[in-house]
Amino acid sequence: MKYTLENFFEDLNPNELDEIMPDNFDEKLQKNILKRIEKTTLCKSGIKNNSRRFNFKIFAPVAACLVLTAGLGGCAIAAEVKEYNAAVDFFEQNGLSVEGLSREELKEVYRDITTNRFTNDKTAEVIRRSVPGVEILQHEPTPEELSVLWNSNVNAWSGSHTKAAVKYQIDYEYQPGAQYYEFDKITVECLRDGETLWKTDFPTLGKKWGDDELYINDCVMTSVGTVVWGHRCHWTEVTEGGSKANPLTYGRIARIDDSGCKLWERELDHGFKDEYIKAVLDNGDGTLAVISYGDFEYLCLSQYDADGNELSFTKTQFSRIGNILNAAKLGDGYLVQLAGTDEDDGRAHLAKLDRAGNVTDNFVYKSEECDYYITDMAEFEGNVYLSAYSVPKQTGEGWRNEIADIQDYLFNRDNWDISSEELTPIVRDNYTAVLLLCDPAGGEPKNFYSVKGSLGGALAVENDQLKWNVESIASTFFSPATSAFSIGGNCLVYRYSFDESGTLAGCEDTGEIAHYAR
Amino acid sequence: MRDAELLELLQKNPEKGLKALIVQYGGLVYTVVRRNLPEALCTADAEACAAEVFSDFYLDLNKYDPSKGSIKAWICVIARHNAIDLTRRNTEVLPLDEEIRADIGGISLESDLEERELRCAVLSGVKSLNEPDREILLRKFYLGESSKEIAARLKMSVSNVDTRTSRAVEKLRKKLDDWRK
Repeated sequence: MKYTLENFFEDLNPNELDEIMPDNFDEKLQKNILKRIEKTTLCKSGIKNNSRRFNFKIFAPVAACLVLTAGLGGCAIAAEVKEYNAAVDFFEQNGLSVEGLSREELKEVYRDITTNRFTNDKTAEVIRRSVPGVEILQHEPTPEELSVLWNSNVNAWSGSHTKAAVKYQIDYEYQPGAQYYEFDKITVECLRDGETLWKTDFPTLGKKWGDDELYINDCVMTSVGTVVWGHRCHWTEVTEGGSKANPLTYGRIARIDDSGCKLWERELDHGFKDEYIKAVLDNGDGTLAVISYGDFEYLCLSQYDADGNELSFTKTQFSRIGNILNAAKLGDGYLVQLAGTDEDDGRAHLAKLDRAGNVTDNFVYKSEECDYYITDMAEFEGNVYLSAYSVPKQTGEGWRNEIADIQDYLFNRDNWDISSEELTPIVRDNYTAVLLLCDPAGGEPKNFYSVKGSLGGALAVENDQLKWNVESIASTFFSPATSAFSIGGNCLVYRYSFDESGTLAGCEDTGEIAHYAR
Repeated sequence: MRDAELLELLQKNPEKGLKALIVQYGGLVYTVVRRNLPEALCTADAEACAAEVFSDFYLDLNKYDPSKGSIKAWICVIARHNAIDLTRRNTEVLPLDEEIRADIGGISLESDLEERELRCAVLSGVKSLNEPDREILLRKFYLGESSKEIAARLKMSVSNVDTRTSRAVEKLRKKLDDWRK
């Protein structure tokens, strides 16, 4: 065997290398390549892996603007190779598996993910193999999409809300010239695909100053029909034409059948000065779980049968509960999102309840880097999904928590006049929509999907799929003199679909617009 | 950062330690990897391979023995091995580059002992070379850089690099002749 210098250098061990390597033997590397190597290293080392809470793998933004010029020989080949290499780079950088994919399929999946279209059957499979922790690429709003914002006729505050295929509209019918409390009735209308299925009236409790006031807050479709909830406000101190004070608030619940007939109405009386019903959940066995909070300190669960009989009531005292924002079934129990508690100023305080209503766990979802705000919850195929958005920890002195840093930036400018084109990217950088899957056993959210520049919106279960609305921030204006908010604007609403296994199955540009204000 | 400081940081704060390691040696590792991968594999492969070098080093940190080499040398060796492994997995035949081959002896090795002794002799010969000749050989045969790249790096002409390479190889050949005697 001939021994060559190549053989020698091939087999150099570290000691030998140390002996011959000059001290200053080094190579420079571009920062962006170093950063990518760093990210991949930390993942492969298990130091920052995908299963840790809210550490997302971030896709490097890639604009898929490749043009294949078929029939031009060398140009077509070069373009194809370029796209293939870009696809391979993309898969490698984001830890996506190429197993089982042909060259063509690899490119198709790459195009699907970067353009939010799902034309290839294997796209969802590729993403599924790579979860948990996937960022869905979403393009920046295009000029055409922005122009739609100007052309649309948008009703800013929609009162309807649904987690099912039906929608409900709640209308307060006022007499002409009436004061805000002088309404004749509240009408609940049930619609499907824009068609009215039924309407049911809830008459006013009184029209004189100081009379009890009725409020209908929300409705839900259950296996025993529609359940409507609200509250009655009773003023204990009333002066004629003067003031009203010391209200007592009683939660109210009613059941309506599929023809719109009101079967029963009940009022909660658990000894509280104030009790607000915030969610009604279908147990699936003909009974209903009514989640409420009393006197801004007690988290309550009442179980009702289909005839409106209260089967059980449990309350748990917290130091403070400002509101209950969302609730969903979690296994045999429930997951409830609390707000305004002492533990958390934001919106990521979650409490786990068992079937009887005992609080078995409660925790605040936080990370070192971000604060989280949960906007909706839905149970789907035995798992609970949380729609949320994350905001980087703010260090600024601005007093609106989510945008303190943005406020600092705006107020420190010499000129407060800032265009939407300049402000919107800054605001987009601040927000990431997040869809979390809750472990059914523990209830603790795990890493799932994220979309930059967006807010997590409503969840719904339709046609055996989970639908997640993602509101992509498209325009922003700064309003320094407004007390209610400092920045506001419009979002383009995209809807992502997930199958029973929680795999991303599709994406749709709804054409809808949602407002936001902070 | 010195090796002892790096090791301590890797143990106390692995994330910071790895980041410091990558800042310090990322360029070298990437170059070693890139040079040992065939052109058919893309930059993403090189980056992934480089990342694996650092993660392999960290995950086997308990196997690292400072007495057997510096961290720099250690990860260079890992880099080269990983790149060659990746190349073998992706190609049927390793590319042959006639430019790289430098026959320094036509020696028939009949035993491992002979090979070890030969290695020592070559090592001694390379160590005895002055700079920049030693660096030129290292870049040419370890990093696989071309004469043109070495010339640009060391601010020399290409012909100067080639001349120095030839002279260095000649010196080693003479050393081995002495060893054979």
